[in-house]
Amino acid sequence: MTAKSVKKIKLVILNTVLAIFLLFTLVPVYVMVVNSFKTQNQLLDNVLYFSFPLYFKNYADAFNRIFPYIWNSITVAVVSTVGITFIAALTGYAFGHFEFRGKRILFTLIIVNMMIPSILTLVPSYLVVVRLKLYNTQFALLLPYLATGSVMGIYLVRGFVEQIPKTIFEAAKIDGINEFQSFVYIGVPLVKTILTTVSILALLNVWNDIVWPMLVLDSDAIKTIPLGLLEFNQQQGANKGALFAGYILSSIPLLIYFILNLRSFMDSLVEGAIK
Amino acid sequence: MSKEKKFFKKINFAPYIMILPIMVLLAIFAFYPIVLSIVKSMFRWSGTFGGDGINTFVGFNNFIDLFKDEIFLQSWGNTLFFVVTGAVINLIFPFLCALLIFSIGNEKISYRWRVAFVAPMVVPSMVIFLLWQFIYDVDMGVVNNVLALFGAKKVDLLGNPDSVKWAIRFMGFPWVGGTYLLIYIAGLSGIDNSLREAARIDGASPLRRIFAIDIPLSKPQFKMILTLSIIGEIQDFVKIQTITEGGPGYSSYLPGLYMYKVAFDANEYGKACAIGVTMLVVMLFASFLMNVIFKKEDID
Repeated sequence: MTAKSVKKIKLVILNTVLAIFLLFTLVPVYVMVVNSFKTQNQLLDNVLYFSFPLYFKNYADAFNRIFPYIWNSITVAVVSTVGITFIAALTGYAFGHFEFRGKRILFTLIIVNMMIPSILTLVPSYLVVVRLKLYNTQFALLLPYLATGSVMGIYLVRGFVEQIPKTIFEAAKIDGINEFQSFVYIGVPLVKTILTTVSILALLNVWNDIVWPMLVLDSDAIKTIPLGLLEFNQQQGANKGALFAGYILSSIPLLIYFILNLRSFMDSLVEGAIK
Repeated sequence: MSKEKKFFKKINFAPYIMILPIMVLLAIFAFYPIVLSIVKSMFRWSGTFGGDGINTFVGFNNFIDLFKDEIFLQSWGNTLFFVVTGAVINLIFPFLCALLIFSIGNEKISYRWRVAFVAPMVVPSMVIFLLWQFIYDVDMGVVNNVLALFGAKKVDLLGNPDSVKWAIRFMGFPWVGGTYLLIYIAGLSGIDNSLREAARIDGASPLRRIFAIDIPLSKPQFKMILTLSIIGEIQDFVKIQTITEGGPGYSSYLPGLYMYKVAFDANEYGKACAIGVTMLVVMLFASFLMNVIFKKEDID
């Protein structure tokens, strides 16, 4: 056998094994898709493959039920992601760019939060939210997200700013502008790449959070996707097909975002984990 | 210029003002809750928030009670199961998959595989939980439908104390989608290729190269994933809360779930804080242990 054909066989084997891995990984997705096109009777008949005719009305039913929750999740996710990215940029820039008294202590105070598991603060944070009369408002999500969600971003931005040579800042210096203006006009453009990472990580965390919204949100009008799905799941005994359609609909916003930002999405996941 | 003015001119206030917002937020939503949690773990603190609940210092009694509490001990037993099995899975499966993708040696194809394995992450985790609950469902579920094809009897995997933990552990099979895979691939890509080349020229088989080069040099990744996996398994309880609520009985109960119920069903906040503190201590100990284990190996 020639070296070339050995290589070819090797590639075929590798790709086949990977395809098998992927196939198994996608089993829940397959279950979701197949059953989203079924009437209740078709579902009772089988859940393993498509039943014809496909029943599209599930999607209309699910849309009406799920869309308000999707909208709530998008609102919370967008506002907190923008907020987290801004705070991370501002604070990270301050720590990376300036020398000032107490810098190390202040930075340690912030970073130590990366090592505090959220489970420790669950009960007292709930108390804080209740005392501040934020319970059952969107601020009960936003403010704690801004606080704890920014920590990792601050760490990433600071590291990034520190690697930028001071001379670049000097060269870009514009006469007559103050420190805040130079943050906006010089700092932010320089750290733009890391801000993409920060925002993607923030978005993922906020989007997938379940425990905290479950604790602090009560009224249906502001509930996020996971809570909406739970409720939908409990009420939809009679037509489970719509439930699966709802699962698919609630996956779409992030899917679109993922497709549009493919490269940076993939890079951010690694960067966020390695930090 | 007055002396005072000169003094202010010398200090640059800009960084302090920039840091102020996060400091205020953290003070309210992080530092205060952390301190409160540790302090209140030594209180009998119950009743409604802000109401006329009980609030008395009890020293370490909450902890002493917990260690006599069957449910608490069983939930740590369950955690141990998930920590150990999770560690084994996360050290083997994503690494194996990473090796396969990396061995393709073509950046474009390997990127496509990475995208394919990461893409399912866009499905909200709640959906994944509910889907697996459905897969295991006794009446309509996928597992029982498949068994029916072979004429086998129905099984209630989630309703049986002997199988519930294994059923939950099996979720996500083959456990390769997501960030762990990407971390391993990043690690493999970071290894100097000339090492593999040299081994190949020396006649080392592909398998031998994996054991002599790829595995030992991926140690930082193994350490990171082991730590992430252990801390995650100790802390995450939503999956089980959604799927089994800790049941049947207490056979899939977890400390985090117990804390949640003690706090928000029984309104015993002091005891809940004590559970939280216990979990913090265990997690810190686990991270410390990881550092010791991996450092020790470095010296060898």
